[in-house]
Amino acid sequence: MLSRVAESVHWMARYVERAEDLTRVLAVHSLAFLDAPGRDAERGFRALVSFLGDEEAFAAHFDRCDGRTVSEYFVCHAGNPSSVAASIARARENARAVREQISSEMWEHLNRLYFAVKDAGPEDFVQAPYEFYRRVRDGSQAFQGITHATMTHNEAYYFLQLGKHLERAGQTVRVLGMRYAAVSALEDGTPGATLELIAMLKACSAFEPFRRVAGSDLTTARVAEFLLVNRQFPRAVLFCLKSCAEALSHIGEGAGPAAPSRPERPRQLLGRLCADLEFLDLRDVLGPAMQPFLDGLLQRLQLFADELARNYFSTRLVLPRGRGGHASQEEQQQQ
Amino acid sequence: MVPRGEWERLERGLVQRVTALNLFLADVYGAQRILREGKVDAELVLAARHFRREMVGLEVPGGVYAHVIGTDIVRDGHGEYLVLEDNLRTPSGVSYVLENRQAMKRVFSGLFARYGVMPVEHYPNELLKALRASAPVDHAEPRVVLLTPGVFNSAYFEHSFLARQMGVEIVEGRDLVAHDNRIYTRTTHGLSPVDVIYRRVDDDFLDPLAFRKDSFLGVPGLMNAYRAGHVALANAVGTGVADDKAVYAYVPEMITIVPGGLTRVALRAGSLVVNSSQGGGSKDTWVLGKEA
Repeated sequence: MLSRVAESVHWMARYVERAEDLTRVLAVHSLAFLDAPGRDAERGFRALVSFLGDEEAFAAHFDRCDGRTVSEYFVCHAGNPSSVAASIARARENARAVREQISSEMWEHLNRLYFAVKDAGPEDFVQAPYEFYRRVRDGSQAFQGITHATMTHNEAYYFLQLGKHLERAGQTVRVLGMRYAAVSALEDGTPGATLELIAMLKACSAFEPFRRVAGSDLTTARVAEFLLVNRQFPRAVLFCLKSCAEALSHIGEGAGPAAPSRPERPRQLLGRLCADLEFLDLRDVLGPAMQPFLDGLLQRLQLFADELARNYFSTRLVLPRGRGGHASQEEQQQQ
Repeated sequence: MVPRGEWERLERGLVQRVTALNLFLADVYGAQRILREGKVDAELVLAARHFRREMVGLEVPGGVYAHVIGTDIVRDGHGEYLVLEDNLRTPSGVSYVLENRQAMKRVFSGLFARYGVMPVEHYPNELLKALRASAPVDHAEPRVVLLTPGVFNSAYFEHSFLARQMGVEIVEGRDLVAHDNRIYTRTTHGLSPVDVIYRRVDDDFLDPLAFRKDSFLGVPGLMNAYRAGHVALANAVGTGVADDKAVYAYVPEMITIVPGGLTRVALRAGSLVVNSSQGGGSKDTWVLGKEA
């Protein structure tokens, strides 16, 4: 398939997922801060800004840091290129560029989502954060369902899946990193620690799934384990990476013997990452080792994304065999 | 609505006209007999904005220059059919014919059955056949792509629609690359060769090495590949010289010198020349299957 098309569907999926993830984190924390004491709320919003983006960019537009300004900046502010509205607009731009490669239902749905969010103002979020979150979440999740049910499961579909799971994996790592240091400084079982852990789980839609597995054992170690290496929860990092590997295994499947061999590098990076998580000894990464570990994960995810781009999205002048003199000359040189 | 009998005459006339225009182009870019004999003013043609020197002496696959022609036809007060203008470069609008028909069928199902309206739905199929037939190489499945300026082009809907209907890939200039005088698409598995380009990009923007240097829409090296005979372009480069408003007046004259063709001028040129592409709106035209 065309490199440009692969890249567009990949980013379309990433931006839809990004919009959903961002809205979820915003909503979960805005709701949590509602009944937090005044100073705590302000500190919480500051931490949220530093987690979600550039504090300096935020400070350039707002001199207060509260529910209203934070919502305005991250939902729809024109000065924020990664707001929810901007992400959905970019997803739509990518979809528009490959409209004939995706199903009409996907395009129509994404278009509706775009118009539903386009004119959102900060009030929409401040007045009813949960309502707004639900609109974006439902939009994103319905998009996944529509994609699964209406798009041909061809190579483009798997580039799309790769984008979605890759974005999701990164998000879970970041959410865990956001408050890990703060929560691990508290003693397990104290109200402060419990509230933090609940917010962390909810920011990954993982609260109920976690409860089913862990019961009342709400400890930092169990939460970290669940978010990192659970094999059944779809937002756990290991689950996302295995889904990436599954999608990657379908890419180039039907290329035939004449096609250049499938690039090894992305599969290698992803395979190692999966193995490292699969056989992770949690004790090695708890406590102060967690932050470097999470940073390392994010770096390796980025490296994998770069390799994907290098091998599939940007052009390599690899000539098909048997056509044109250069290809055969190159083959000779290798012998 | 066009009654069957009138359509048959019109169709013969159109075939004749399209043949004449293609032969005119072959002559202008070949022997230039028509210019030397003074049938058409040489200066008018050679100085025309759409005349392409690069095409002189270049043999196009199958001798076909204009694979797709949009001829605008009107009927005057006496019921006579007149040609308003020919569009030989990158004519657009056929998707409206197909979409309008879908809409009309839903609304006037009864009328269609009663009048035996002739179908139009097979257009993309015929187009694909014509494109494949123009492939410069002889293999079973020539690869055809549709080259669009991109999603911001006003006719993008049509480009995308036709590509889907024909089941061919829609590409932008940046998806194509020239190497060793051949054209390839950039794919997730390396480069993949292309045989026929149904291009909906104007001559000016087709190849920054040959035409406008500032074009981002084209493919550097495309003209060399075309000249080398490794890829077919539909329509050929330089066809605009035959839809020039000044040349239009000579078409009836051209028809008289088509070798072996009909000498009777089937279509009378009107005295008014208007640009119909500014007209907006579109309607479904019905060719009736039997005399109504």
